Amino acid sequence: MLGYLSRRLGYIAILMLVAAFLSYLLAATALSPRVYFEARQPRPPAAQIDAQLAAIGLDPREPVLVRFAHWSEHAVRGDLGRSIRGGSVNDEFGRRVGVSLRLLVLGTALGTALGVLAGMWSAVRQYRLSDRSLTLIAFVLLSTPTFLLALLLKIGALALNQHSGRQLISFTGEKTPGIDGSFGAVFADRAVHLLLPTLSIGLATLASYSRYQRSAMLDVLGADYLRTAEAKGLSRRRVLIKHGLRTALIPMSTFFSFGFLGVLTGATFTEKIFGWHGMGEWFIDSINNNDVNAVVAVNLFAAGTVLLSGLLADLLHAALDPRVRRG
Amino acid sequence: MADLSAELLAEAADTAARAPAGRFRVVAGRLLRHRGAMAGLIVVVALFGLAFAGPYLTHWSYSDIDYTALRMPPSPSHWWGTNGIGQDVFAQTVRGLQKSLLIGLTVAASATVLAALVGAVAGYFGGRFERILLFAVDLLLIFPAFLIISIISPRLRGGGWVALIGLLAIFSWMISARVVRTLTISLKERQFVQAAQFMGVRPLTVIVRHILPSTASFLIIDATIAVGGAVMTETSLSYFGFGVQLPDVSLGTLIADGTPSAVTYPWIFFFPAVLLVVFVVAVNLVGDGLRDAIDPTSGSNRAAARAKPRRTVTTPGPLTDDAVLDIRDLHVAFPSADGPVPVLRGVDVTVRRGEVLGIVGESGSGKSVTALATLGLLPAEATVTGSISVTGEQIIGAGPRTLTRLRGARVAIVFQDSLSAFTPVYRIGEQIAEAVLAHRDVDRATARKRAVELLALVGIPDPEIRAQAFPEEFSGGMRQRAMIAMAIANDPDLILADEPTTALDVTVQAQILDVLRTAQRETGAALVLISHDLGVIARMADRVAVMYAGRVVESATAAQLFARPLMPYTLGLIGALPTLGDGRHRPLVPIPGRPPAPRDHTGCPFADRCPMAEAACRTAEPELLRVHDHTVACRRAEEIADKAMTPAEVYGIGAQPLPTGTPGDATVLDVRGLVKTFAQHRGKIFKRRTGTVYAVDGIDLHIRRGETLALVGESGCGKSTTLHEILRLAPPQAGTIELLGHRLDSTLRPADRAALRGDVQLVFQDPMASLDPRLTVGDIIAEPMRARRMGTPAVAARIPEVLRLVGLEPAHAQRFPHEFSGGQRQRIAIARALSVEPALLVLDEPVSALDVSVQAGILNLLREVKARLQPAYLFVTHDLAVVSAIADRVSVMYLGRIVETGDTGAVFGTPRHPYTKALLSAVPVPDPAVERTRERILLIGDPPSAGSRPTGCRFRARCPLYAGLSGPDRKLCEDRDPALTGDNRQRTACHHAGVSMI
Repeated sequence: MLGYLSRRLGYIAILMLVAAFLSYLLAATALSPRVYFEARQPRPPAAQIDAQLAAIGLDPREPVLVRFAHWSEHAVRGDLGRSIRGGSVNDEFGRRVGVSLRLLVLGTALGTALGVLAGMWSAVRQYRLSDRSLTLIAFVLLSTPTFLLALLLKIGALALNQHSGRQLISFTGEKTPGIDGSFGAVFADRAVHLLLPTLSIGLATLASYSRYQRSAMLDVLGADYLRTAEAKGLSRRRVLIKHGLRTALIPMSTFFSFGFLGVLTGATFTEKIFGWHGMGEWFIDSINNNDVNAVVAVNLFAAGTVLLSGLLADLLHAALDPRVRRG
Repeated sequence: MADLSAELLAEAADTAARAPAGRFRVVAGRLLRHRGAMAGLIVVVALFGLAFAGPYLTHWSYSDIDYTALRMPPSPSHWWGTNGIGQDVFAQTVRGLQKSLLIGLTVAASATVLAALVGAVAGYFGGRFERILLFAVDLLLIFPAFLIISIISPRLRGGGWVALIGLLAIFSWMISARVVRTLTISLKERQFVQAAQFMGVRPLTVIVRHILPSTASFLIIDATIAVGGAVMTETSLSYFGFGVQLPDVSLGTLIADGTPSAVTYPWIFFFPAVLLVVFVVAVNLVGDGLRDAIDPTSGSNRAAARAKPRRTVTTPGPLTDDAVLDIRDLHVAFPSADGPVPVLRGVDVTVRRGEVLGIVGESGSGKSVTALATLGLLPAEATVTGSISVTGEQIIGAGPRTLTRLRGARVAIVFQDSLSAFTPVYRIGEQIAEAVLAHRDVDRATARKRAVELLALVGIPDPEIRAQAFPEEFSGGMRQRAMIAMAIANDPDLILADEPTTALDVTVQAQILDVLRTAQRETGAALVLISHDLGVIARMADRVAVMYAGRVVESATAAQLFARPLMPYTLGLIGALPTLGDGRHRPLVPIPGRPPAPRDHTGCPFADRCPMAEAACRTAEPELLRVHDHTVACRRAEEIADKAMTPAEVYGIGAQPLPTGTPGDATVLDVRGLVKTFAQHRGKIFKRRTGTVYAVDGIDLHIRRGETLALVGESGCGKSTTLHEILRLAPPQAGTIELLGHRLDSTLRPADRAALRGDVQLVFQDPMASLDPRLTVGDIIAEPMRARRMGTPAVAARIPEVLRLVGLEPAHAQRFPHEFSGGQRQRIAIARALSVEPALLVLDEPVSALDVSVQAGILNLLREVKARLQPAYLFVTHDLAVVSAIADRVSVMYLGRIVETGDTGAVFGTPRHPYTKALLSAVPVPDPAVERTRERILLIGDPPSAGSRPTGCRFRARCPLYAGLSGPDRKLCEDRDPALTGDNRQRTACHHAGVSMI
């Protein structure tokens, strides 16, 4: 098991290196940071732009590979360079990472847990009305792009607030600016702000997990070992949960890393739409600003979280399935 | 997006792997009946109509600006209103829809084609190409397509939406390609693909003819879902300005346009938003419907969910004295799309305390359903009527409380397939302890202790340690012992054993039957033993019930039933069975036709296959009558009893022996010192080498023209590896293979090798798996001829010839494999092999998957073909009775070595090797008188794996002879590897072959 983990970590390290290289290459060739400076009024002279670009490590007179070498020299020491405005990418990263992780972790956890439960319920009641309604809801959710879901939630909240004449659901940013008061009030304010973004990430995850879990559970429902368990004289409920659900959870671990990918993409839209200053919003703004170093930093964050979730999925798999532990 | 398609892909891949022939009409019919899919299809068609006919419906173009109408609500002049700069929302939405659909369709189509080609090639050839694909997919998973396309998008602005299509397609095929690769790898293991490879069909032809069509069902579903996914990705990108660029519009840009004023001017936002969701939902519904339509099991599930379960108790008559099981007039029917299917049609069974009842019958006769009904384990949708009383309590209609109280405590069951019968994630000991805890008020520790005791009782060594093992760490025999331990955990009054030894080797089967006997004696329970094997029944049963088409058609004490069967079906079963004693000349009795599909019968269900059927048999189903201590459902039983008719008489098989032909002198195959080793790996994801397996370790084989050599041994002895080494036609690792005088070494020219391909043909065990379900019988038979480049007219002329040769009609060439029964399919496989008149026919367990009555027909056919065409047969089997029925010579294999070889009569008549003796004595004989008096040599332990290569004799560890030897004699076995000694009639590899064991 330990050997397996260390090999797995090694593979992850290789993938991270390739990811860093490719994302730098991609960002450096596709984005044109020069445009950002040229757009200034008055337009600075070309030599000054070159100097400014060189100051943030994007000297266009150097070949891309050399620039990458400089960048990676700093990156190994934990310095992700300067943003196009001249600020430290590290500082910005530090400000934003917590915001994103809060959304990602909460959305994934809620979506996964509720999705598994919904899927199991749906499978046990296959083709009944409850299964059919759940299926329909899941289909509509899965067919709605996350950005649209977020927009619909936002518009719904807006309409509700206008209709009631009060700010029932706040949805801009992660807290009401300048809020003060007791811990409870602050906490409640944060929770209300979390509601819609978490829903728009979590609902899609919930819908897809409910479908995975439903089909995994249906496979297991026909398994011989459930019949054996029942033939021993166990109650139906015990058979379904102890033998059925427990085994049907195993394939879920494989979908976990897949699912996280969706959450990550979804979070990008969600942050932008709800004005959360997280990594996703940073990513979209940076592309629009042609901010190469920031884009690379977000890419590394994305790669890192996806790989971590993959590792977590492996550990989960091993925890759930003794065959893997010994393999 | 990625999320949705990944989910649906996983399901679709699963479905595609299970799907049989994707018969177009059947699928289309199912699709038409699928309400969701039809609704989806109608919506998709309507939206396409709107997208492409829409521009002609209104005189506004999408770019026209009506300065008089800014943000105007829907009105007759602007149906869906106008936007902030006075553009017509209808015209804009229609234009956006058009663009989004075009992009979605093109991306899905090109991605699917790419995925199919790359996936199939990577999966089929493997190697570097495959590794690059896998790495690329891993990379893509860290960089979601959305991220990459967003970054590249500034460079795209000039390229427009065509460049966007290209990018989307590039980033959306990889995951599907990985699925196609996985499918291809599993297809490569499928026998019909291997058959094509062994026939010499070229790799690209194999991919095009066999692999891609088999992945088609997956690809169709995949492409459908991909359309929705592509539309979702495109709109997301366009919403953020990374996709379609203004002034061009797509649904994404329109939604972005409408967002700021969505509450005040909802029409600008909601028309494109709703169309987007409706379209994707509709496409996904179609995809879902397609999957259901292609998955053959889904229809019955739905029918099942709609049916109302019915449980009716009838005739709960008085219980027979001391009966633990009393089944009266049991009827079971399952709902289906074509109405209820009767599976049991009036079964009466009584089992007394301590009695062993054997239930015998072919597949589909209703044996297992009877067992499940007894436990109340039939699915809810089954209609059950009659009466089942277990120790006086009624099972039919009993509530869950009663059932859980009885199950495991009064009545327990031993299932057939012991690997899938244990929950894979719990330890064996835990699962047994669970049975104890379910019925006894004891604590966990006590239950665990009891589990260990039970494991010891059923003969598992080191039970404390073994209780900690997981099911897959046990061998098949050990699991079956654990299953028995679980069944007797609560001292039941009745044990049901449903084919408890069917998947096991004969030596292990003998052990398990002994354990069952012990278990039954220890608990004093009655035993119902269900088996298709008359030998097993003869060994164990006090009374026997023969089932056919959902009824008991004959029952009597075991002695009477085997000595004097009265129902023609029973006579057929007994006559069809090859036995060790009777050699190659006795014709076996094949029962013509096939068991009827479950339905209601007006006449006797056996009438169509019965040589003694009269007109009256077809008008009324015969009652069960008592005839000479038998209960038998046959009008002519009395007559059969009076004339004491034998199977051969009933079936009109002449007494004259079959011609077997005499072997010629020409050598067809000569194998010397053949060695094949495998590297042994552990680990599922990261493999590491842990040792070397000597699967075949220096064996000799010699077959002459017109001769049948049987290679027998237990699973894992290396017989299949030997076959593969010969069929590869490549130089072996060590030793030599000479085929028709050509030595298979590096000097063999490719042209000669190609010619040799046609001289060796293969028949697999499972005829369903070895015939491509998507080809017609004619195309299947033509495959080896085409691989040999025979001309089309010659091929067309040959097909009817070989079909007649194997007893089928020339007209059958137009049909598909699934239209035939198992026996007929095996005839097709034989016809395919014979089409190129091979000098050597390799038969890999060709009758193991068939029912006894069908097996007899195939064995007779093989004997006839050999007499007429004089091919040589290399016949691999584990069934010694079949060997004695067909083989001239036999080689017995153990752990990669031949331990005894010679003329079949000599080896089976006077076996000299202790392993041969043990094998022969483990074979059950369908004669209770013989079975009860035989002295049996029980081998200990399981057939070993070839992972270790011990010094000296490798049978030593299980050898009953070695156990009784004195020191110096033992030393010989330990130090020296015995060589084959003897004369041409019989050679034996044992130092102490002469010593008597019993």
